[in-house]
Amino acid sequence: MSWSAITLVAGLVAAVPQSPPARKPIDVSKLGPQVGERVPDFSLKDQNGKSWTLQSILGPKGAMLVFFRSADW
Amino acid sequence: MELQDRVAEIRKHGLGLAAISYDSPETLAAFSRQRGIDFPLLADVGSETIKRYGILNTVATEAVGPNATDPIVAADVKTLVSGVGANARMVGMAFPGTFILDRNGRVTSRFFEEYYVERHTASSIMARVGVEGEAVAGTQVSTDHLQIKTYPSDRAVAPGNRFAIVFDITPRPRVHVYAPGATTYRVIAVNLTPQPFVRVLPITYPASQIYFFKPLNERVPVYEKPFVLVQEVILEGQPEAQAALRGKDSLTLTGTLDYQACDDKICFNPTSVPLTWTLSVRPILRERPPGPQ
Repeated sequence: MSWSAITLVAGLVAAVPQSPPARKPIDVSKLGPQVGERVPDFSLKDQNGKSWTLQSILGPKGAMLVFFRSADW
Repeated sequence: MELQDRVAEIRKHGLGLAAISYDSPETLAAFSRQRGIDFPLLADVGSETIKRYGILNTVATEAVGPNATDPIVAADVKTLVSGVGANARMVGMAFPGTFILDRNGRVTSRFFEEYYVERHTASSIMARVGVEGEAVAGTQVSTDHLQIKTYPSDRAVAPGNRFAIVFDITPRPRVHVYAPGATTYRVIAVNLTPQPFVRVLPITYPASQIYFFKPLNERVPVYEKPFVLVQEVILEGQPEAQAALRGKDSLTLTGTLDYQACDDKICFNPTSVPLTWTLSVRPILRERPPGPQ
């Protein structure tokens, strides 16, 4: 096979759209920082307008950091 | 908010406490006033922190997009977003869960909800990580082998709560009981009598000690020092469960603590200790899905 023929075939193969991989069910236990990993820092205002960073939340033994869906509904 | 009831104990233990959501500071201010919250509720408007933590609820986004009818997406919407239909206002929220961090910000344990209706109570998380909570009335039992103190993590539970039955166990002098991995002996276990809408989860066992029994030259995992077992239970929260539990103001669980004990000379017959726990049932402080009803 000539090089130009190979290039043409390669080009055609590359142009065929691939179907996206099937979506797998979400496993929340795999999302976000895992045991042993350091969580990302943040700088957020609280309900009284006071700013907090991760460092400012941490106590002598660490912290309980809770993510909840919404306070509004 | 049940977490507010636990604030003093959490702080006493030396843990900081904060909660994060995608709500505005105004929403959090109103909620905080209403519920008397005195720990930080952090406003992650725009969900930038939630995204950086990798816990953005992407299923909520899919639920209002072109893939909403994909069966796998639809199944995830039911368990991770809403059983009554998602809407655009939910886009940007986090998957709910709790990180326990050490003082360097490293995760030591995490509790993320696999079904949005079912949530760990703060007390059950505290029981899992060994933070002492307010004493809940329990039962003390002494057998020939063990001193047992057992109590529920929460006095009152609502449908959807994942709570714990805690066992503080002290083996009598020179006595040990068998821990997971002790294959030829009966490992200590909790057996709860099944009842509708009460789901029993695998028990959490603490680290054990190795016992060397010279006559048989065997090394076996045992508990010979005081230890704590945490048996988590879910009071189901889906609509059928809520309907069935409406009007019910208490929940009684029955079961047994089963074990085999030996001392340094002999092994005793397996023992089964019958136990009962009664909790109040309270209604859910309902979160309505946002948007038109």
